[in-house]
Amino acid sequence: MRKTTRVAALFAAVTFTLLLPATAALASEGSGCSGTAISKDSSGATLETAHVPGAAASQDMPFLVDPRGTVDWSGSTDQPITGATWSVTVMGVPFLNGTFQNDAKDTTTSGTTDIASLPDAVTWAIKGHQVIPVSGTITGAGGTCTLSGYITGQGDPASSPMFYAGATFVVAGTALAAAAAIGTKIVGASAAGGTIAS
Amino acid sequence: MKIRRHPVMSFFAGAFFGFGIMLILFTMGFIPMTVQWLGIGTLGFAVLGTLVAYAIPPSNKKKAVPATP
Repeated sequence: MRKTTRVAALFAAVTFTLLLPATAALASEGSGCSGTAISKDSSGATLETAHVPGAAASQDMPFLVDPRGTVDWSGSTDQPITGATWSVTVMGVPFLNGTFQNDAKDTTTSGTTDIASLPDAVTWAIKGHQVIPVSGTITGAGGTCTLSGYITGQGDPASSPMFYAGATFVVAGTALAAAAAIGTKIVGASAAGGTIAS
Repeated sequence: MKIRRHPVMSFFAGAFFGFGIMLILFTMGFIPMTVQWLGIGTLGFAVLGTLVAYAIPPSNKKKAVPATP
């Protein structure tokens, strides 16, 4: 194999490794509004309280939630937003969205979300130490409100099905790589009548 | 001398490996769990696998007998 190809492969490996920790946002952020969330476990005991924007719910200190618990939340906008659309993004993917009118021109709202009642994929994803980015946006007459932060689950990483799924893919990838390496052979040397460099 | 290589198989080997590594890193909290990271990791290792396929020496290199002059 050409020396340049080997150098290129090494360069790509080093670059990729250095790139890994470089590009993530670190803090919970907000504009046009603020919010507070209180997570509770399945017995109703408070796990954590976070105010966003702020130091809480950051990538370094993600907001702890129990997959079998609830989250009490409240939020306020800087000014009334009416005729609005809202959306929630999880893991960088649109997750929920909807519309509301807010004819009363309220600037505060609150509620409780039962984590266990969310789709199985959500409760499945927050077992372990995952740091999951979550953001929400409200846009309408009166302005735009954006909040973002990070949540994390409970339990050992080995309690997550995702850990075993990952291990399975690693084993499968390694087996394929071994097959590819074993299958890399010199062919047709004798037929060509040449010599093989050692 | 011709060497039979398997870049396509290596591409998928790298993709599988990268996908698995990213899932494990997610569960351990080393990197934030986003589809962007999942894509970067999977594609990055897939490209790396393809490059390695062109870099590794043939497995029968020592066994091959030089042709008689």
